[in-house]
Amino acid sequence: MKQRTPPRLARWLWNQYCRDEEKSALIHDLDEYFSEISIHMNRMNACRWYWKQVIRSIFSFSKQRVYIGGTMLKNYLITTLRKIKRHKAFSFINISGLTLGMACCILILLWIQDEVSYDRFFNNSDELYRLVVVEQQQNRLDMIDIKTPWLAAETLKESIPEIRDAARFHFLRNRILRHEDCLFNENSFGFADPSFFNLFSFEFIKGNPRNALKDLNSIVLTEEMAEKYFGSEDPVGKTMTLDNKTDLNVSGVIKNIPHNTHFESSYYSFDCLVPIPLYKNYASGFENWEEFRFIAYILLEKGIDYRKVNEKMALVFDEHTKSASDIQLFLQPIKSIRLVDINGEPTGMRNITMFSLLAGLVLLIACFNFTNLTTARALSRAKEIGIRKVVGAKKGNLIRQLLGESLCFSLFALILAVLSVYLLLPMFNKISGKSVSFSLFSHPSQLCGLILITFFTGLIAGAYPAFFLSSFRPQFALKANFRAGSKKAIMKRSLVIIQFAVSIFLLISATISSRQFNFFLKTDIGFEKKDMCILGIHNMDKQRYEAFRNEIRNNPSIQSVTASGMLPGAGSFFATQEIHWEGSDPKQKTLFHGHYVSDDFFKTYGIKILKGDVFSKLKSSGFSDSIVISNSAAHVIGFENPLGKELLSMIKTGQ
Amino acid sequence: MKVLTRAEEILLLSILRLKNNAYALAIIREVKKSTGKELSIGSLWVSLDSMRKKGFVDKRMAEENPAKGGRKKVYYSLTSSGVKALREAREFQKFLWYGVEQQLKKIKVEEI
Repeated sequence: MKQRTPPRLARWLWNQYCRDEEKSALIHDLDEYFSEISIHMNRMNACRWYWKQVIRSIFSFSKQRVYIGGTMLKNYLITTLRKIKRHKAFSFINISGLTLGMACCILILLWIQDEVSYDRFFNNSDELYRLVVVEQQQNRLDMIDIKTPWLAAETLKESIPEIRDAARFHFLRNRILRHEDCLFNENSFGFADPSFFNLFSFEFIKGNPRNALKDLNSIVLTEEMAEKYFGSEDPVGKTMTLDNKTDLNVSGVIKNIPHNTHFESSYYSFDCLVPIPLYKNYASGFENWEEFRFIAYILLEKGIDYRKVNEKMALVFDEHTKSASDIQLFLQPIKSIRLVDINGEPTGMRNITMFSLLAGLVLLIACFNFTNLTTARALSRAKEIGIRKVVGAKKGNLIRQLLGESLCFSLFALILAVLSVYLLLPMFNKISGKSVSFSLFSHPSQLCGLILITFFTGLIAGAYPAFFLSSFRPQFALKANFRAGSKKAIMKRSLVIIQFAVSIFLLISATISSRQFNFFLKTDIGFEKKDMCILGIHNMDKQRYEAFRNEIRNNPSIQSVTASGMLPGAGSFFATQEIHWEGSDPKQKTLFHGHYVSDDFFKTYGIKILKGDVFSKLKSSGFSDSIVISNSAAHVIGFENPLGKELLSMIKTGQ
Repeated sequence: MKVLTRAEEILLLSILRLKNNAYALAIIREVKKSTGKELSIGSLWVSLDSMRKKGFVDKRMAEENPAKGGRKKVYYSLTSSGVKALREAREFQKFLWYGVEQQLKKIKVEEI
């Protein structure tokens, strides 16, 4: 009978494990065993048997080895602890340097992790898109708006088979929501199609996502809102009143919106959601293709290239708008809203690259610092190394020991760094405006990152000293007047130079950006910000406002009261190109931004009036038909003395 | 008193039985014959190694007749302290079982 050969791969593996002389006999033992056993088995079973033998054997070998490794580590730990105890100042500087570097690095990495996690946790994140309006500009697209016509989402869903689902979304500020005696002014009030929850897998605590918004009088609350209005009661089925008009039934409660979605970007977050047809209570005449007012989301079938859908969409859009403008609808992947612009350029990525570079640099400085300090102490350790070598340590052993030592240092530093990150995190969140959480055990990726950082730091920081120290020749090292050679000084000096250069670079950048920020805060922007309070109100007519104003003016701590359609600096209330004046060129249009303001606006904000008497004129004209223009507007228009000139538009009379 | 573990006992007894032929493969066969369990070569090596450190067994490298295409084998044998440990184990066992054997036989399993 022909003798079987064992499986080659397993045998090779077995060979690797039986390198030393004692075990070499085992190779043949196993071969013999195999040939004996395989007589009674078919090839498959014999191979399986062989593999099992090899794996089980290797397992028991490595168990033994891990044990030995453990004792070695314990030894390193003891010697390192002893060293830390003996050289307190040195260890303090070393470990605190590493700790600082690591803490910085961890914070930056947390920031990055948070930044790239945006909009990735929905079940359909890969197939979700936001519909945006773009304009074709030669080779690139310009995003004009994220708001689309009322009919767009529905029509696209019906006419393009690749679109699995679509939903519209809209939001209003300052809605009054009431439940019995509980009444609040809600600042983020959302409207959405029932299919909204098919697209976005927000987690429901109560209620069913499928029919949460089906009923026209339903409302979905976030957890926080539910608690605000209902406390510990079960809100489902309870009635709420919107703006004193519409009665709504609570149909579901979702978990609070996680901070890392584009919904949380300050201007279109929502705390409660009602069916979008209710929006008709607030506006009309928008159900066409000309009004761009609604945010629309599209869910594609799996594995569809969205660029092809874009082409199809262009056809549908042109057909309905019947215009040949350059404006097009475009799908923007949800996942890239945060970091990538619609041309596919990673605009937000730049920050991330910069910050990762920063993290690396800071860590590297800490490593260099460690390296320098350790090599500087080479002299005091030369004797130790010499003795160890004389006693019989090989270079490899010494390298391993020294690297182990620096790993221990970086482990200590890591523990301190983690502690300081825990302490600094609230402040960090305040500065960066995020709510980053740091918990070692719930995020395996964070734990892996930390372990990587530790090893990286330990190896980078310890590599040079380890090789440098272990290469001492014992006969010189043990001499009384031993000095490290000049060759090493070059390495050391260059490390110091790099370290200083990087730190100075970082210091300068920090100074520049902080001065920039101060400038931003302190520049005179033409109006007073100090001691100003802002109250957001709505549904305020003239009588009510005046009553309110007179009432609060009685308060001696209030100097002056005014009202305006928008806050100065927070965008314009209206923007128009339809302003004409004597001698204006009808072809050349200029965009003017305007505000509606009440009396005392200029006094309250401390805005200087260059010409004219605003107060008397405003009063005499009954607050209508007059306009105040800024210096730069007067410049554009070209009035030498703009008082009393006419601007044709809905507004007249230049002031 | 330090008692041999059951696994150590089994291995030592196998080596004792095999006399001069106690090399890895033979020990494995012997153990399989007496307990029905198949040790892997690696785990056998590890446990024999630890017993060697305790001083119960000795090992020597020997070559089989090279003319027959023989090869190096590692033979194990008991040391005097190994023999002593086995004796002690046996005494200990006797001591443990003393007087209970008859009693054990009387108890019917169903009663418990």
